[in-house]
Amino acid sequence: MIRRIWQRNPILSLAFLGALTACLFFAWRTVDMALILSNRAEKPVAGWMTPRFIARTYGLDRDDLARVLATQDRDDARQPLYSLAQEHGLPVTDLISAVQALVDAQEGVE
Amino acid sequence: MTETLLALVPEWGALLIALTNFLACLALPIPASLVMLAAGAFAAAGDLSALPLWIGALAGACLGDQSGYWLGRSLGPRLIDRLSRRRHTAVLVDRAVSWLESRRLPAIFLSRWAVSALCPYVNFSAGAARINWAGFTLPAMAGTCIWVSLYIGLGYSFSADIRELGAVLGNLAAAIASGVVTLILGSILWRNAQERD
Repeated sequence: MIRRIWQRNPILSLAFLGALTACLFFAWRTVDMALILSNRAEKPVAGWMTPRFIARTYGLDRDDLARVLATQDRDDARQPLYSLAQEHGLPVTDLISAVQALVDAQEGVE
Repeated sequence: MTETLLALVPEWGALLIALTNFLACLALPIPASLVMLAAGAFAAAGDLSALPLWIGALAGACLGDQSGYWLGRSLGPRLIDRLSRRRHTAVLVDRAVSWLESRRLPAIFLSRWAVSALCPYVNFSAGAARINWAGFTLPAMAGTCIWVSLYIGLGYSFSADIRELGAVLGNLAAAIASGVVTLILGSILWRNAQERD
């Protein structure tokens, strides 16, 4: 039977094998990623995060965070760390490590 | 690229999500589902409000679906004519068109959310097969509502883990889509092998 399928439609058979391989590959990756997601302990701070997002995700006090980001005097909503760093003329890595230090200190307290 | 796109979400909100959904529905490789997850997460944090996001996402996706459908309607017949010139392919094309026609509702509805990776191709094929406009648009909109609500809702609920969740869901979507393609190709091969015995 397999030989007959192959002889009648070689191109479709190859496509079938390709799709099957892709299916198994992505299924394996899904499980792999899901395991990473469930076993992951730390979530590093990233440049795309906004102050509100950081405060909510890491359970930080918004005033403490505003002090680190030097945004006490204004509404910092909707600005990711990238654009805050740009405004201050700082490299974004400095801002990320300052916030990360605050997160680590908070986790140390808990 | 992903980092930049994520950083644009809080500042551009509904407009960005509409644009990424529109482009993703035209088969461009844009991580639209990650953008929707991120939008949900920023809504949960209070940076964005959920309703405009939902409307923007829906509008972008529906516009993308319509563009794909009308593209299929205008270019599809010529393509089908060309494919049908060879007798062997003509049979396959004929079968594909009648297959789509007979499974119109589940094919269009499910390709919006459960098998979302196939959505752009179903749009084009539905147009090419001249499925009537309302018959395409209604199930497409219903399915798109589910897709958009699902991703924004997941982003809202699991806001701290959107990047990882995006990776899991992206791979899951690809696995489901290739699984469906495997099943369809498998059944075509099986039927072809049993014919003319």
